Amino acid sequence: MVLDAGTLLRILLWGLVSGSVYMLLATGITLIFGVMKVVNFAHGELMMTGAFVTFILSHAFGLNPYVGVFVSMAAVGVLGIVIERVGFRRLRGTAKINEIFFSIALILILQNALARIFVPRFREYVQIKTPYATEVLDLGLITLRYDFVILLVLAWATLLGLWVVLYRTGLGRDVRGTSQNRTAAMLMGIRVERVDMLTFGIGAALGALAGSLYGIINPFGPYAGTLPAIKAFAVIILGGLGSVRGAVVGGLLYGIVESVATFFLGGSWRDAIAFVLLIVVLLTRPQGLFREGA
Amino acid sequence: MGALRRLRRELIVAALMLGLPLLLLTLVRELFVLQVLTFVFIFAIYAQSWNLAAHSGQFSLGHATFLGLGSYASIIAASRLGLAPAVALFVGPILPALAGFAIGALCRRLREAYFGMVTFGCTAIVQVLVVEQFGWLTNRWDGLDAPRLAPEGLPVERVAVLNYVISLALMVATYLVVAAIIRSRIGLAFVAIHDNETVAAAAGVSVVRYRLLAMGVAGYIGGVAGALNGHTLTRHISPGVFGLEDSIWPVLYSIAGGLGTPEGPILGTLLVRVFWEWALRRIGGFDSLILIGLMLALVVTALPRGIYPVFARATAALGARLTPNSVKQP
Repeated sequence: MVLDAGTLLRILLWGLVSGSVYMLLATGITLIFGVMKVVNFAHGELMMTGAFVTFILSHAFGLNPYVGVFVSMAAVGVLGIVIERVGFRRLRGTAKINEIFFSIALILILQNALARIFVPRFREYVQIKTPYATEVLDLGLITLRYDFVILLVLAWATLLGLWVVLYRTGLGRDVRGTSQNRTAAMLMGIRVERVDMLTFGIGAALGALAGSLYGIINPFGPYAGTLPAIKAFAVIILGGLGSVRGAVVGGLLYGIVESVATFFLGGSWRDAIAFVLLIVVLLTRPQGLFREGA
Repeated sequence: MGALRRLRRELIVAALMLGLPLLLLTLVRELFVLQVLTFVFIFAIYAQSWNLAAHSGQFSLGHATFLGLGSYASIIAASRLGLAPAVALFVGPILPALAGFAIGALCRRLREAYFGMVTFGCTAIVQVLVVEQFGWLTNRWDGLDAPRLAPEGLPVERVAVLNYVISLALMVATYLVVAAIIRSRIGLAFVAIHDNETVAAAAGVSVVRYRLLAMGVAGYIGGVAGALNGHTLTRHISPGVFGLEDSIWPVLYSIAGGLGTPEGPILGTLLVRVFWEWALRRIGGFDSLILIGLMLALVVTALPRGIYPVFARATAALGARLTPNSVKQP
């Protein structure tokens, strides 16, 4: 284990790239939580659905994955709206635990619907191929894959777009208002149920983007969404549930910590680091857990 | 005697639960049927463990921790320490019981979705610990072979019958233990915590202590199920047990049967598992799981209290009809 500047930069770069994926995923979950107070345990499955739509568009129709990802976001966004409309909306006002049970049902349905379609045709794992897979940018100390550059630009541009929607449009004002105080928002004439529906759609679309980017840099299968989603849960608990800023900072930080720790502790710790971090936070700062913001 | 009188209904149910499957044993000796039912008994114990934790308001999404640790501890106790599997079966689950206390202490302030997230995370940590830190003991990803519960030299059919009877007896024993807990003051404290922690604390219930107790007992019972499964059906344990699937099944079984009753998990495991065995042959694994998912979604949105209350109401109505002079409820 020789740690020179090039290696260090490579570790940080990988952390930045994977952190951007966690960031998108966590932002989607935290938006939905902020507005609806629902933790969607099936977010990882929405993510994988998005990855598979992009994969099919590029594999079967030869569409450039960086174009296909927008189709995928729209498709999964509509799926999210349907799920909110026929599922979570009916559970509003019943025991909170029903939402967890409904998420579990969604996990079973989505995972196995994907597996049913994909496992017989492809192997357990597939990866989205891009036209730039072999091209690199030489920066002296390190080489940078084109895909990483495009991925970072896409992730951050989407985040900027989300910021504009949230803070510069009427819809964003409605979303923030509902998130801060649902009853007051309702009394001010905001159609909170429409806000629920659109928020779930936006959250699902962010998940589809995260999934597609994940699928470009990692092999994935129908069951691969669970772990990234659970890591995203760890991220939003660290960053404060319902806080978009917390999800962004937490996601990036988490990606980097994971990358550094994987290098020093070994690959098998990769997946447990999230939870070690989470436990440390729970033991030391439990009062900081439920800060909610916009 | 007071406790026995309080548990009269449960003792009758237990006698039925013990008697009917034993009666079945005299009629059916088909190996496949025995194995499916043995599976149902073992996983009814497991679902009972989840149900007990849920009874105190702790909805675990990482229950596979207990199933897996119980299995590992019992198998290691049997093969390394030379304990008889029948003894290791009860010694091993001490480890998941301790894990239950530890996880309960860690999550003592968490509820609902947060509790679910962290308990799920704990399963992932336990998996890494088992594979990496204790790899010398657990044979890493390859896992361990389990010594069988039945004595060596017994023919296959006799082994199946023995496994069936032992699993059944343990399921009924677990049922009585959980029923006794739920009907006691401890059970009342659990329900109070489940309904409203603040009010429970104000009424003098030591919330953290009871939550830990529920998790510890649930850990032990879940561990017994895991150990039993390892020594009888799978005869092998690998780190795959710490996955999402084995954490979701007890939730499904308990919901199907009805939450918060000691009978629910048993009825639910039987219903779901028999349906599963039927569906697996008809429509294949993926479609069966999709169907289970759709049914769960339907049950949650249409029947939020599960099937058992409907079942209990139906049997009560039937009983009323069979005794014509009974007093009609207004």
